[in-house]
This record gives sequence, C-alpha cells and structure tokens, in this order.
Amino acid sequence: MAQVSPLPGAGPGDARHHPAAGEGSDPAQPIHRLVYRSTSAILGTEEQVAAEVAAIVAAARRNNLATGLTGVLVYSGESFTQVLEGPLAALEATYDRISADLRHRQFDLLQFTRAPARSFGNWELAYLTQDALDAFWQDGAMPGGDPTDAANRVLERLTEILRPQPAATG
Amino acid sequence: MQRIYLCLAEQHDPWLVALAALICAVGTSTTFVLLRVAQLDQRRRRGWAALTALATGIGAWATHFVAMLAFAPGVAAGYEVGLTLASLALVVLVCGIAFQLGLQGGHARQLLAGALVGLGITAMHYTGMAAYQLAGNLLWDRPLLGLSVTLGILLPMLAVWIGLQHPRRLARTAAAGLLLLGICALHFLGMAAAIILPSAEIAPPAAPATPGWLGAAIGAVTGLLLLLGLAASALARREHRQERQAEDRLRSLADATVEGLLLCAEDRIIVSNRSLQELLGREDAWFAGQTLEALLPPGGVLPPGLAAEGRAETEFLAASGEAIPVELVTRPLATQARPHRVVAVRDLRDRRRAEARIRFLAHHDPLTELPNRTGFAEELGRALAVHGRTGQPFALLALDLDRFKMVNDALGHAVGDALLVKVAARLRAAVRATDLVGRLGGDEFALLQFAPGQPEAATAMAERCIELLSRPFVVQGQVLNIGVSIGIALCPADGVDPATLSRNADLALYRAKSEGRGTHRFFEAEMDTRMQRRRMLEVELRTAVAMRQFHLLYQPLLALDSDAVIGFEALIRWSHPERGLISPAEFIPLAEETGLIVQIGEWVLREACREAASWQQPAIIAVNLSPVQVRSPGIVEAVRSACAAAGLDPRRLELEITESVLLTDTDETFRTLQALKALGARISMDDFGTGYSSLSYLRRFPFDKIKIDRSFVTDLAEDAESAAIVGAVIGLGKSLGMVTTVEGVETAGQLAHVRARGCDQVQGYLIGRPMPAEQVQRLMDDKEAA
Repeated sequence: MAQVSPLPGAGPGDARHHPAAGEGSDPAQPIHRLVYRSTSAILGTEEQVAAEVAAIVAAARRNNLATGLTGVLVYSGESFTQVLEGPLAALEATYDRISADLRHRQFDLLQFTRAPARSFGNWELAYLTQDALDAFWQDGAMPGGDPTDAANRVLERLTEILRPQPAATG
Repeated sequence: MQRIYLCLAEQHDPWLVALAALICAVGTSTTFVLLRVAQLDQRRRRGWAALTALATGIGAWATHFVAMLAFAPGVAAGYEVGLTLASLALVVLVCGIAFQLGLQGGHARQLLAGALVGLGITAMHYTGMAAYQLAGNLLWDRPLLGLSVTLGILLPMLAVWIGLQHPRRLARTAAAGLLLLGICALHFLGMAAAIILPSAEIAPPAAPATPGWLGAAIGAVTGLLLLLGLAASALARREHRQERQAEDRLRSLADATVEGLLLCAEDRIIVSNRSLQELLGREDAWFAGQTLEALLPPGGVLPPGLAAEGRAETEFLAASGEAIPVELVTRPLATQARPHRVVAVRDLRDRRRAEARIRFLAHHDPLTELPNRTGFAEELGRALAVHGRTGQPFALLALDLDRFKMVNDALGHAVGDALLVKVAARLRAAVRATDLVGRLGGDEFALLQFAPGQPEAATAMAERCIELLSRPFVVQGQVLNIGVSIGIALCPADGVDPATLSRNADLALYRAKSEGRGTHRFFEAEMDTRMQRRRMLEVELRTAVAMRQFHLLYQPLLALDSDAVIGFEALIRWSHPERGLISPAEFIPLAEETGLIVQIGEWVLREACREAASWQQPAIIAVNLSPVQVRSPGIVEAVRSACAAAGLDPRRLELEITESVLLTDTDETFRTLQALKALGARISMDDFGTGYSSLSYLRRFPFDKIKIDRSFVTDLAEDAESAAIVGAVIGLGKSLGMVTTVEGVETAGQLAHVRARGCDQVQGYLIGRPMPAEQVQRLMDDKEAA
C-alpha cells in the first residue's frame, strides 16, 4: 500500500501537524492550490540522485513550514508530480522558484486555482516514492489529456493515499 | 637667623602677626583679581588700575601697621601722623604708576611694573619706620636690611609679571602668594634688622599716636580693603562665569555643527567636536595630540592639496574599521600666536551612495535591475574589447517575448511589470554567473554568453531560455502563458563591432519570430541579403508613392442570372522604372508592415472611385482593404471622401476584406465595418476558405457577399471534396442572404459547375483578365451590345 518516504528525519508516518494548516489556521485566509508535473533532469548515480531529491524535499519542507504551505511530492525516479496549497503570496513565490528550476524538464502546470480548503493540511510536504506509486499509477491516474482532469485525478488519488490513518502510522 | 627668630618669637604678638598676614593676603589677592579685570576691561583700564593700586597700597600699609602693633620694642613708642599718612599716599601713587605701565603689556614693562610695586612698598615700609618714634636709638643690621629691601623688590616684581602674563586662576593665586611673601619678607626682615637701644636721653614721643586712633584707622582701612576684596572677587566670579559661558556657547556651537570639526595646532589635533567623534566612533580624548595622518587608513597619505588652507577628499578610518570617504576643508585661525587651523570634515558617504545610485540607474532598468540598453551596450563594448585582446569568443542573443503585448494590454501595466520581473528572474536562472542578462526595453531582452564551443553552447542556452519562459507564469494568481523568440549572433563569426553584431542578432530574431516564434535562429549571411533587399524595396516603395508609380487594373465580374458584367474589381500594379512590374504579393506585405499601405490604399480608393464614376453604366467597383487600413483611424472618412470627391454613389462601392481583419480586436473592427456599411458601401468577405473560415464571423457581421477562394475552383472537376465545399458555401451564403462569388473561373466546365450549384457571380480569366481603365468602358459597351 502507499508508503510515506523513509527519508532521514522524516520517517514513515511523518504526518507532522502543520502549525499553519490544521483546524486552527485562519479560515479567512483564502487557499490556492497548484498541481504540476515534470520530468526530472537530475543527473548522476542512483545514490547521487537520491541524495539530491532528499535535499530538495528537506528544503521544501523547511520553506513550507515557514510560509504556511502544505502539499505532497511524488517522485517516480523519472518524474515529479507535486501538489502545493496555501496562501496565494507564498504559493506564488514558491512557484516562481520551482518554475525557474532547470532540474525540471517538460514542466507542466496542470492547475493553479483557488481551492475551497486544504487537501493535505496535515503535511508540510508528504513524500511518496516508487512503492507508493505502483498503486498510484495503477488506476490510470497517470496525468495526461486535459490538464484539469489530470489535476483532479492526481488530487483524488493522493488524498485517498494520504488520508490520515492514525492507527496505521508510527 | 637667630635674630629673625628672636624678633618674631619674642618681640611680636602672634595673634596680631596672624591678623597682619590675613590682611596682607586679602590685599594681594584683591590686587590680582582687579588686575585681571583691568586687563579685560580695556575701556576703563585707568580706573581699574587706580583701584588696583589702592588695594595694593592699602593692603601693604595696613599689613605694616598691624604688624607694628604686634611689635613690642620694650620702650615707649609713637607715630608721627604726617609721615604715616604720607607713606600710604606714596605706596598708592607708585603702585598706580606701576600698574598703568604694566597693563600696556610686554615682558619688560610688566617686570618694570613689578619692580616699581616692590619699590613702592619698600618705600612705604621705611617711611613708616621713619614715622616710628620711640624712646631710644634705632640702629640697623645692614645685611639683613639689604636682604629685606632686595626681597621686597624682587618678589613683587616676579608676582606682578606672573599675574599679568597668565590669566588663569592658579597663576593668579601664585602671584598673590608671591606678593604676600614679598611684603612679609620686607617687613619682618626689616624688623629683625632694626636694633633698638633704649636711651633715657631721648624723650618719649611728643605726640605719640595712641593705639586707639591707630586701631580705628587700621580698622577702617581694613574694612575698606575687605570691601574692595569682596567686590573684586564678585567681579572675578562674574568674569569667570562669562568666560565659561562663552566657552560653552562656542563648544555647543561646534558640537551642534553637522560637519566634523578639528582644531589643530601645527600638526597636532587639540580638540574635536561631537559630530566627528560620532562619525569615527571615538572619544574626544582619543583625538587630542594625534596627527591628521593618524586618522587615515593604514598606508594612507594626506592629499597634497591640504596645506594650511584648502580642500581635499580622502578617507578616515573609523573605530569600527570602516574607511569613510570624507572631504576636508582647512582654514587657518588668525587669533592665536602659534599657527592654528580648523579642519572641517564632511562625511561623503551619502553623496557617494547617491552618486552610485545615479550611476546604477543610468545603466540599469529600475524594474528588473538588469542592465538597460546603455548598460548592456557598455558590456557589449567591453566584451568586444576583451575579444580584441584575447580572442575570447562570445555569443550575443537577442530575445523578444511572444504574446507579452497581449498580456500587457489585457491585464494592465501592473501585471505586465510583475511579469517582466519574473521573466528576468527566469533568465537569470537560465544563464551562468559569467553570462550577462540585459533588458533593452519593453519586452526586449539580450544575453551575452562567454563560452567556448559555439554554436553548441549558445544553442543550449537559447533552449534553456525558451524552455523556462514557455512554462506558465503566475502573476497575482493568474496563469499567464508567454514565450520567447531568440536570435543569435556569434563573435567573431558574425561581426566584431557592436553595430554589426546587434543588427545580425536582430535579423536572426526577426527570422525566429517570422518562423513561428518560441524558437531560436542563428544569424546567416542570407538573412542579411534578404533584409537588404527588403530595405531597398522599402525605399523604392516610398519613392513609388511619391512618384505615382502605381496604376490600377480592373477585372470584370459576371452575374450568372443575367450573364452581364455588373462590375469590376480594382487591382493595384506597380510599374518600377527599372524592374518593370512588381507583383502586389511582393510589395503589399511590406507596405502593410511599414504602414505605407494606408497612403497607398487611399490612393487606390480615390482612383477607383474616380474611374467608376466616369463609367456610363452604374457598375459595381470593388476595392480591397488591407487589415492595416481597416484598423487605421481615418478609414471611414477616407472612403466617404473618396466617394464624395468622385461623385460616386457609395452603394456602387464594394469593400473586400479578408478574415485576418477580424482576427484581432474584433469590437473596434466591427464598429468600423458597421460605419462603412452605414455609408452605403457593401462589405465582402474575400478569399473565403483559406484561413480559419470561422463561421462565427459570418454570424457576427452581416457581410453582403462571400468570395470563395480560387483554390477551390482549380480542381473543381476532379476533386469531389472541393466541389462539396464550394456547393456548401454557396448554400450557406444563400441561406444567410449573402451573395456568393466564385473567383478564378478559367474554364467553361468550371463555369457550368458553379452555375449549376446556384452561384450568383463569377470572376476569372474566362470572364476577363484584369484590364486597363480604357478597356473597361469598351467591354461594358460590347457586352451590352451583345
């Protein structure tokens, strides 16, 4: 079944309660969400690539914690799929950084829109790898076709996979 | 010594001696306080000098007589009144002369004045002794007498000199002490020198001064002296306070000054003001005794322009280690004996910052902070200079954003500006640290790439830029899609001077844009020739407008219901004096690009209307309008006045537009078309079927006619699809109430085909080629006759 990454310092069930994202977060603050997909252009041996991705995830978590973003990153070894959500200004600034990053290729912004609520409010950045992805792609969630449909399919699958399961984690 | 001791210890009453010393102290200190006042108050110096003399004289005199009261000679004694008073007058007079002299200044006068004071006091003492009458003989011990007189003159001399030379309170006290010492030495040594031999032969004084009157006199005199002393010290205090105030005022003035100030005696700093202390982060005490050089950073040299008077810029080292740029202005100070100068220290940091900002703004775009056109041109010049010296190659990339204008127009400048900032950030991400990004203006950017291995390196960079800028941008929550076209010129292959390189990069950019945008092109020599040809054509086209090298041909239009020629389409031709006829396909696009089409089109309208008005039959005259013309603001008026000038009924005029007219800015375009229609002219959709052929255009604007493009007619017989399309469009026109015309009809078969489909009008070589104006009338007459 879906597994959350065994990254150092971010072990399985690393559902750190996000200070800005829980039920206590400011309800007046509108939430925006973005979904993108890209091909990884990170070069190197498997270990080097893994180390770089781990660094990206760690940096992203630090940044998200500081700016009140939450989300999920799926890395397949070839491609990235990421959902990010939070206040517009922070989301836009983070998007500016991601979209200027040449470690992504064939960058595809599937969605950038106002969202009624956070879907991953408990995750400063959930990280899903190959194991989780087997399940992820199986049901035809592979993005393609109309971007909005693709974004919706990604969201649907990811929320399902990452639904809080207090008994199962830890 | 023994004599002196005996004289003091045994012959004097110690209490009265102490009183005498006290009176003397009051007298001498009063003397020097008044003397200082006399020095300062130039206007009333004589008066002050007289008063000082009074204080000195009375003090000395009273000391003398109290000390005499303390003296018990062991025989009856008395005083001769006249001489006693004369001694007082003498000392006051001599001292008065002395102080007048001493106050004129100069060491010699001051010393002489001191000596006179001593002399006056000595004279007073011994005159007083002469007034002393006792029952016995008075003998003198000569050495002691000499010592008494010597000290009595020397010590006052020294005291007065010091008192006049040094205005400070300490010196004044010392002077008063010296004078006191002088008077006491004179008196007591004089008393020790006096040897009294009692003698019965000498009668006691005839009129002995009784201690009673003497006491009263001395009391009065002492009182006067005390009053003088009190007044003098009050004056001194006031004078002191005023000096302090003046000094404080000067100090606060210096401290309040924004500029730093230094007072230097020769090369050494004496004092600094607060601004300078704050500027350099140091205490006042740190400055005292330093040289100016000590303020410079290590190894610094004072600028040569800074002598006793001048102005120079240098740097001072603050306690924090910061080197602060300063301007120094030096002025000499005339009031002091030694050469002094004031150095004003102006902090130049703000000015330097402002200068740097101005320099930055002159060379940078304030929005993106990238080098602007000027700054980039300078960098390009530098790169070419480096190339000249070292042969280092580089690439110049000219970038132009695709669709930026649309975003800017639709969403406003604020969004456009924010987008440009983000574009700049992505471009910075696409280049390496050694490369340079510049914004030349609007949505034009440029890059300099310093890399070997061209053209591969430039290709890779152009692709990175294209990829990064083709990713969507998000500005204020809105997703915006733009792109970039890039032209590349390489140094040295495509030029070694800035003008050639820039022009070639621009030519390549032009090519990239015309070949689909979102791509890059390298400069090729062929672009240059094409561009040159184009430029020449442009010049010639302008000449053609001026020289009226255009003429019109008219192609007949046949109505199928009556088989009559019902009109003509006016077609422009350019007969070049050297090159002969030039095809409209070659010059119309250029005329549109340069805007010349507006002038040319207006001429066509006028000429066609004038010609048509001369026809005997009221045939239709069809004129093509370019999209540029339709968008030009004067088009409606141009059509109206062309008809009016020719006397042509506008209902005979058909204006043909292509659907590209409708592609942009539709609201404004539809308003123009409505206005043209309101004049009475008819509007035709030309070349239908070649572009998007969107049916929505037909719905949005009530065209009077659809002209089906000639390409469908060519293979009408063989190609069932073309036949079907032509049939469908004819049917569409009928149901929308629009006239349909088929163009390019060249064979009888084609004519039969379209006639069978119900087409209204045809045009083509079968009906008639475009012909000169003079043949038009004949054709119509022939047809009528037939």
